[in-house]
Amino acid sequence: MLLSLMLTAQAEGLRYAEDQAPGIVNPLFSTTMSEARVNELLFDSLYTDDPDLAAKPNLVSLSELSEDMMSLTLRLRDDIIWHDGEPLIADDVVFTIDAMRDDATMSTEAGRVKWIERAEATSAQTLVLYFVIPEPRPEEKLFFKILPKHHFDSSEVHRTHSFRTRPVGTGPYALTRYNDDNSITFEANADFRSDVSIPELVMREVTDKSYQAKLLIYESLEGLVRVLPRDLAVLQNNRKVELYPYQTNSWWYVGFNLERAPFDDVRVRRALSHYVDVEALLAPIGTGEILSGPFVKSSPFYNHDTRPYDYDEMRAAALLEEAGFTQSEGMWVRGGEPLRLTITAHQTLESAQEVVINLQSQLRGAGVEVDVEFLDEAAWKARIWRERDYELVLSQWSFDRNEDIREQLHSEGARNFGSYANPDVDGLLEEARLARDPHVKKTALRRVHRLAHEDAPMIYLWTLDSYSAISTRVSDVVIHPFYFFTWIADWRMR
Amino acid sequence: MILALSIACTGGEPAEVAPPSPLDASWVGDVVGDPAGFDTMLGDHRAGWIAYHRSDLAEAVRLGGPPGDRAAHSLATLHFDLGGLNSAAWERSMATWQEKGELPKDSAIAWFAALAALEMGDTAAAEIWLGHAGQADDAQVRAAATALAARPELSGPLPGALGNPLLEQFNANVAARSGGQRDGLGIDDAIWVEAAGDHQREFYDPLRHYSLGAVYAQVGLVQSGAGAMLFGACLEEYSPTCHRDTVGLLGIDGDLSGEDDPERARQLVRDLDVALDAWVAEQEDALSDDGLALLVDLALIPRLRAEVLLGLSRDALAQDHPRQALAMSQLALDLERPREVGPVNLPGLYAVLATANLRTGRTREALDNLHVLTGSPLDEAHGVKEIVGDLAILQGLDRQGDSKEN
Repeated sequence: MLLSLMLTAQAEGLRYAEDQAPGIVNPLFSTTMSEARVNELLFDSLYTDDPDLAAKPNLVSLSELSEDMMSLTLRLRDDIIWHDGEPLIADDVVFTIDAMRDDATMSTEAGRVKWIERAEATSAQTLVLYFVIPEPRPEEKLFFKILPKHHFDSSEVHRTHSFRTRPVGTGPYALTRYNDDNSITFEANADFRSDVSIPELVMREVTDKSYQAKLLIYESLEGLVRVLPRDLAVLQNNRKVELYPYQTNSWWYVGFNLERAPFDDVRVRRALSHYVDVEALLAPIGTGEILSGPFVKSSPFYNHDTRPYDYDEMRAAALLEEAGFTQSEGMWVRGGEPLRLTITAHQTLESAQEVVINLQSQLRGAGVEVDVEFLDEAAWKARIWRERDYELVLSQWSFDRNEDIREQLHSEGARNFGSYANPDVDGLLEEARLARDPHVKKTALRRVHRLAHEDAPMIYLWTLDSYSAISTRVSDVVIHPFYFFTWIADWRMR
Repeated sequence: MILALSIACTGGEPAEVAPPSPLDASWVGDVVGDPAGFDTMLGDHRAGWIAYHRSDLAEAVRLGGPPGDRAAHSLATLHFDLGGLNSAAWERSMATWQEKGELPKDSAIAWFAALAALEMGDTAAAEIWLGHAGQADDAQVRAAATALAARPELSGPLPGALGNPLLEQFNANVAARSGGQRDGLGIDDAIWVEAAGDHQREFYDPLRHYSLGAVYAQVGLVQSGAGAMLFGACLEEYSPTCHRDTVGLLGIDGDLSGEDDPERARQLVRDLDVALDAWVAEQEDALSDDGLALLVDLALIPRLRAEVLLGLSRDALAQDHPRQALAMSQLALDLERPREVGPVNLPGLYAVLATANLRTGRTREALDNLHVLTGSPLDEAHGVKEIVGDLAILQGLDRQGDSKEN
């Protein structure tokens, strides 16, 4: 595949690499960063970030917040056209909110509209949003992507709906074809409200990061979304490539399924944390920072008084003995059953194979039977997200600048597939969410950090040095820190 | 680089010879052209130069001599950068907080806001904040506010400081600025902790960095010879703005005036790289093994490049061109270890990056830069990181957070 990709001549458009193609192109069900990036190309939100990252109207021409801040009237722009030629109407926005809220849809984004009690269209271009509690700045929350109602039968939308492969949006690009080589071609939307300079984008799925770097160097790609730290120096020394910081609020973890014994026992989770030599796991990947909790170290919420679990075999053994395990022929057993676990990873998570194999080796050396499995995108979403059918997962969370970990750690969080529940953490997360005093918010979340370390629902691993690489053939590149393509319309090819 | 053709004398064969480069006679050329002379250049201050080269500025200052003086000046500039960032973050935080909610009344926050405003020269704002602080619940805050309100300036000590940590710290800053002694300032830690319901607020000294800048700026600086030039941005002779001269000497258009267009800044860096790469390529045949080893192992060209780009980035910030500053300072970093201060990753780069990020709305990203400084041997910028963090939180208060896998 590499050869065929390399032989592709320099294109008029921009070709960028993802480790994995989006599993589904429907913002109702987005769970991965590659999906979020494609959503940014295809769809629009009511409000978006301006280049200084302040909220600005996007699909909205007028807005009026009620005096009691319990409702917001929005008038949509009348020049927005869906990729299929239909005009954007208020019903589309109402439909989107209803679909996200519909329990039957099981949208992974449902949490983003919980604050809206209901939405009503009052004319073709006008709608009113009613809130659960007063919202002083509702526009800051209206960043979810809007879907075309006329492509769906009801607000109950299923993941398998044909929209996932034939998406229609109002964004700067339209998806025009899936290619035989697992790439996706997007063409500039001629009806977009501003000029889109680059006529065509091609997203190539290239699972091997080293190949990605080679393809960029040999000018068979113009962009890599994320570069492995170990490749940074080589790419930096290539004068045809420039590197941009991107997605720095990301961290890797090994997550326990707390509904499965013996991982429901905090002593076992802590013991396994002590058995993992995180530094040794990180070394083959490159440089990064080892973490003790659910924030990166530069975060205002990181609790620097909480230290990562040391690699400490004695402490780990003591904890397992407390939990009723004994050693037999070098292996831990309880009730005649060996301590056995399966680590599940996404097959395209960068360097996951290296990490999982090394982790397996470390734990086996400590007397723990370890199986590993790698899942493709569909199996991952089914087994991990929906069925919660796993014991341990190796994965990575990426956050926007708000670093809101509620969905991961609140007992009712939509991304809390490990079933972690601590009433104190729930309370602190609620307090942090409502706090208007930054000191209160940060001290509350620093306590969450400490509790989420002590409870060890995950083995927190590291944050990597995170950069994108773009060919110097592309100019006027400004990358959104999270969504990447927010200002793609302004990018140009030289 | 334009290559001139000339006829070489040896063997009568025509050969392509590059014209002399300003780098040939620069400190870089001196070091790599005469490796044995490099030891002489370091003289009795070898350890100091080593510390200065790896950007361990505090250690270089401690070791003294010309590298210590150079390090002191680098520290002065760094602290002035951090002071400016701190004041800007305070101003924005207070404005954002007032816009999004009510400031706490049971707090010393108004006192600290007053100091930050005073540091920025905004006496009117300082007086308003002092008015608020004068009504605080805490007697020490009220006393401090009353004392400063009587003479709202940073030029002299205030009375009644004994036992009042706010006034004691204020007076320590005044003493540092006038007497050049930093000891009274203490370490970069919270100087005031107060309850906020079940939580707490911590405040750091907003005057610290300008005071430290003033302390270090009092050190005299050698302005000629190797002591002035080594590992710096200058090629021919020392001047505080020689990074501009260096760009010009290398034949690059360094004019970034007009619009704050980051693409022009990126082009400038590309042009700089072309010039530097060409010179390095020429040296590969011309230098001795020892000279080449010094060139590579000490990262002399990347160091020169980083010093030049740091200077240009500061110029861009001064011209209110934060996007250009951001582009150039990002491109200046050595990404082999981007989170570590070192020979190329100068401490000043992180302060400039943080400032440029803050001024382009990337407040959260500024924390990534400041985090490097708090984790470096310098162990500074904790207070700046806290107030920038507060601003990031305030700016995101009404946002709906988003997260995804991978």
